[in-house]
Amino acid sequence: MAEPILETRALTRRFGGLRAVNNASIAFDEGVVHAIIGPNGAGKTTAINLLSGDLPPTSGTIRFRGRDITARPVQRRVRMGIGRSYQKTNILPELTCLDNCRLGALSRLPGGLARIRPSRAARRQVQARAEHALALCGLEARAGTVAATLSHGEKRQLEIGMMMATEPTLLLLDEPLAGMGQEESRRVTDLLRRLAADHTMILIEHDMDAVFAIAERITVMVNGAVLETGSVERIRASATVREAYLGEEAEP
Amino acid sequence: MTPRFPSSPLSPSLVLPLLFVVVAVALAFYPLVGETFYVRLMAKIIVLGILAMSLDLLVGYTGLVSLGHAAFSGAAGYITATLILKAGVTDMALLLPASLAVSALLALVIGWISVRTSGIYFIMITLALGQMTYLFFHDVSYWGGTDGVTVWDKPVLAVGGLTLLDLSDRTVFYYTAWACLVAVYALLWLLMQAPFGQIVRGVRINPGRTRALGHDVQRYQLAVFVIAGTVAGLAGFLEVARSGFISPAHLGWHESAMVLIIVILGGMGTLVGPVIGALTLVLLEDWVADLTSHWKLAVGLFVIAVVLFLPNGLVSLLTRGAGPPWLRRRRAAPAEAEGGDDG
Repeated sequence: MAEPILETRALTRRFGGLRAVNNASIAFDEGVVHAIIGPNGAGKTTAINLLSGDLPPTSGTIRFRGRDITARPVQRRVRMGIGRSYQKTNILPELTCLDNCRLGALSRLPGGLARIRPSRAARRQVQARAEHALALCGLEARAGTVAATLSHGEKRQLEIGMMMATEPTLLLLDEPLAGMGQEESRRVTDLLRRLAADHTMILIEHDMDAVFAIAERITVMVNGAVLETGSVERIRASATVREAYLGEEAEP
Repeated sequence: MTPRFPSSPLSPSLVLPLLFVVVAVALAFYPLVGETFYVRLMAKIIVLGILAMSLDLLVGYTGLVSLGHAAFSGAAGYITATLILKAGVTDMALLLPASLAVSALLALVIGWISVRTSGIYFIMITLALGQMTYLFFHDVSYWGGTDGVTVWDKPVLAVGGLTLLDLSDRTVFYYTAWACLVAVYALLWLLMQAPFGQIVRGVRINPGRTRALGHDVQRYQLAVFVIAGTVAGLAGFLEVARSGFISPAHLGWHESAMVLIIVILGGMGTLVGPVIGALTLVLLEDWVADLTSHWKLAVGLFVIAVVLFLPNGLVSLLTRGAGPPWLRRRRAAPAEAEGGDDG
């Protein structure tokens, strides 16, 4: 089997006495949508923060395409192709939707002078990337709208568009459906399914219908530790998982 | 480049650069009509305007409130004055690069330390490092102590035997400073329109998210810090060429705070605002000082009134409170898009 695109070994993050993520070793395969589920406080968001570089781990390693990235800061991971969206909407509210995406697209410009006097081609490329990302997340019609005035669902879409503007190959999605109505939720689920066709995804989501609709593999976390990893069917069938997590919610 | 969406005729992206053009043209013609005293005052205002513009790059454009900005203009001023006095150098081709290099280097060191912090800590650390620079020039006797350095020779730019600029000539100085003001405005405006400026805008609005979009936030903050420090160095050089005098007071936090007040008064996050702020504060002080000995009180009240009623600064009188969007959060949600950092 091919080497996993992202792999954690004995990843641990402590907050004081609490082990938010405890000795987690997970392999994420390229091209696969891999969901991380678990009850509240299981350490899912902390895990994403460790993978994206927003938080440094207490111990353990993270390898991306075989390279140790444990010590690399967020921005370098982004430029390596690891994109991330946030659970709490994290956009630049005063800017237009297009400018929000443009900021992501600009990270693909080479450094140095190109950022002060970019060539016409580079400028056009940034513009095209930003527009493409905006179209991907379905907000083309809102290009000139100030982001602060978007609806909640649209902001969540923009969040994904901004991430896509950095042209990631691996997407870290922290509850992309959080706080969405049914209609919005369906729209974003469709969007994620489309993106899944040519991206690797690591997805945290509480909406189990969405998880079962998109994910191919599932890791169940409980109290910071990995309980089980496997195919959707296996996780559905697992007695341990049902007992620890699904059981409580699957109650009629 | 950026497609602009419906914006009012009073869009700041149009009005503010236009305002600068008007101010620059007025300043260019003023020596032809003004009294000598006021022409000299205008020269002072031009230098102060350059200094305030450089600070606004940090405060208004990058969201880094520095209370130690006078350290850079002051250090450059000291280098200029000391080279003239102790080494007899008057060659502008040497003095200017030397003072710019010193202020850039100092900004690199202070900036490197400061950008590791944010918010109130950034203010405190720039204040502390600025005061350290102040004490360095105040306490090391080589620099002349509290009395500072007075020079009678002024920088001269000559090529071969031909004198191009002799800054001891007040008219030559005036137009040299004026050209610097225009050049600094143009350069900073271009810089802020470039991708660099767009990323810096992201850093100001949401540094965490800008980092997560692949940008090294601290590196951009440091780059702006060094650019601002270097431009401040230009102002410091010009100040010594203008007044022939530099003292520790030029570096102190009083001076830094005064420049900050000028920026806030004129309008943060605009390049023309600081120039308007410098014009207003200096002319107001001059006018009120003639009327009453309590002029500082009167000027203070004026500043408070502006901050209360025109939080976007005096330039917002023209843009009808439009100004940089992040300063008008309290207003109803804006219905249309417009560029933030203009002019």
